[in-house]
Amino acid sequence: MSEIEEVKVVETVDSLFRAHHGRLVRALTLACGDHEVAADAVQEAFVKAHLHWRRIQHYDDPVGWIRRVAINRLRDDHRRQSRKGRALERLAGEPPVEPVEQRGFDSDLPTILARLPRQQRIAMALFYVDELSIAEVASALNVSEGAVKSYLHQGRARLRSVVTSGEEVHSDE
Amino acid sequence: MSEFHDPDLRRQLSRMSGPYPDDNAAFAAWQRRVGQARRRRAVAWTTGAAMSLVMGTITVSALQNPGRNSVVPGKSLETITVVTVSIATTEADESSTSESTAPETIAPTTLAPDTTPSTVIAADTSMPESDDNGAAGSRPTGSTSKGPGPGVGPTTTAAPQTSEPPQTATKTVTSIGGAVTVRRDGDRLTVTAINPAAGFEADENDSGDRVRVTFTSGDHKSEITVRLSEGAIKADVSEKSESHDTSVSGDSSGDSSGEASSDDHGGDDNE
Repeated sequence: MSEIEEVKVVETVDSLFRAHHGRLVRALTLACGDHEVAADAVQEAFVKAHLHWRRIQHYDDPVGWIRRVAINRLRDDHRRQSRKGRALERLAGEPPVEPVEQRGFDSDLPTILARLPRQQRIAMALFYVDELSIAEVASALNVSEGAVKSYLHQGRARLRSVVTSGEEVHSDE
Repeated sequence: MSEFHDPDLRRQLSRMSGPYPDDNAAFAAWQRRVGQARRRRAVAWTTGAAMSLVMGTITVSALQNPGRNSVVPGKSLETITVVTVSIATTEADESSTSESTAPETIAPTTLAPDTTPSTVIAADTSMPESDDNGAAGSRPTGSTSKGPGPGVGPTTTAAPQTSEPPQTATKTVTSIGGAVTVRRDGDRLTVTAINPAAGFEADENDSGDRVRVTFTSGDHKSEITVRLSEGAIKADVSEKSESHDTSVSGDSSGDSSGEASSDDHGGDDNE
């Protein structure tokens, strides 16, 4: 890679990083409940984007590729943690403990959100926090737009009551 | 406006997702990780290139020397046979008490496997192709060729006499009229080279276990007789001239009797 090409790559990935990093980290933080894990996944996705930029730059949606890589990283991490938890349970011989996915939140909304299926939770996070369109969410999750609409409908129905009551609480305060 | 547009829910979820991360710190951390990843990739590429180079070199070397590490049954058997002969000759030379030039030509390194080519060369020195005058395999019978210098008496060029004499040996016998090189194969003698001196004509009489070569000039006649006696090569040289007659005899160990037994060609055969 020549020096000029290197500068272009750095500039391009740099601009992408500054434009999308924060929002993606926040969305995935909501999805997984851990800011550090989310930040690490997003950062790794951008590192891979930098290393493979020659190929990725020709994609229709390079940011979508980065988003998918970060989400897959989260899924891998979740599977790894689940296996680790099951192994520890078998070793300890104790009943399984419900994983606390939403650390740091003590209202009802995080609890309900944590009980949503993971795919649904990620769809809600990408749509409401990262402010993606339904098509972009479908692309990121590699599902159809109808499936995304279904996720959003079910998730919104379960969270809506809590949000309304929370607003009432906040307005009372 | 999407049917899922819900500002309240968006605000609540945004608040749950925490504050915006510090972009500068994240950017710096990202740059560090990019640098580490690029260094790891460079190391991997360098290692891979080095391994490819080594493998390529080995492959090219193997292709250029296909027989070096391969086993070819026929050739291997030949090599083993030659090595065995060389070892036997060396042992015979070491055990011999008689004068011989053979030990200097067959080095002890013939026992080493890597010196197989040199072993073959050393073994070949006992073959008739290494004739002293370069007349490999030729048996000149003409009378005008240049022969060896004057000298009378047999000189051995073969392995020395031992309790178990070698099955193959060569011997060069010189006379005033010329030189004869005889090879022994088991119990059979074969003339491999005849080099008459200037002005002499050669006449050969080969009967298997006895070889007689006569060199004749106008006033001189040299007769060389080589035979097998008790497993050893015996040579008799008879010189007849108008003035006087001389007779010399010798065996394969290089011993010679007679006052004129000097020859420097025999040693060349084993070099």
